[in-house]
Amino acid sequence: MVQPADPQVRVKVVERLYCPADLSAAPAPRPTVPEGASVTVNAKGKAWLAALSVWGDALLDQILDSQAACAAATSAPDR
Amino acid sequence: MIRTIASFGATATVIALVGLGGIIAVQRDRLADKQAMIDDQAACVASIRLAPRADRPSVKCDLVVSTAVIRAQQSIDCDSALAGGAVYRTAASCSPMVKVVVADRDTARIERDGLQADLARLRADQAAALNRAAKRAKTQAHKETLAHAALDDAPVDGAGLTVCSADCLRQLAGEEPRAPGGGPTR
Repeated sequence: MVQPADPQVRVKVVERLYCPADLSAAPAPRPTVPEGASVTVNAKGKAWLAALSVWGDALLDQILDSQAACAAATSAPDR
Repeated sequence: MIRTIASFGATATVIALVGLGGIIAVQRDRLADKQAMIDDQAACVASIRLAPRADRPSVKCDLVVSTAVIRAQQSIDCDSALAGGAVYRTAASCSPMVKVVVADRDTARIERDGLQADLARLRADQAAALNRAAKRAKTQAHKETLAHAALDDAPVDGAGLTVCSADCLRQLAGEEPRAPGGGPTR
């Protein structure tokens, strides 16, 4: 019988996770409404304007939540 | 004639005695050799009884016997090391083939533990993500109400179009309304 070599090698694998820089970066500030601005819209335009505003807010919230979750996951001890 | 016969008989007797003496001497040597072998084997067995863990049982032992004794003892050590989970004693006493199997088993156990930890973490992550999504959905519904309120409160011109002024737009954007008289509030 062929005897294999003595297995004496011990391997430790350490996995480290990092958040991508574009996620960690602060989101661009929302443009402020300039003085004297005015928008005139019909009913459909009104609905779209409201939806656009809510969409932007939802995206920002999602990015902020992702940043927090990523920071928490990467600061966890080695697995 | 009688003298001749007597002389011949004497000669034959001497030859016979000398031959007998030679045979006895040879047999005595062989007996001594056998006795030495028996003594060696007894010494070998006694040394194994006294020190079964010795690396080399005894110089009196035949190489085949001492090798077999060492193997048997290592096998017992290997079993006890495996039972006790002693990694380094396993490495010292078990045969390479056993060590390969043990290493495979240990690796599989580590992988299993790692995967179980991953699974638990992923489940926790998923639960947390669901919670965050639910919270965001609630916020979004509230902001949607505010956005519609801002536009619904805005005046309507002669053509039936909604005119959303700067204050209306700020409300839509969730900004603080400017204080009357102009100038930012923050």
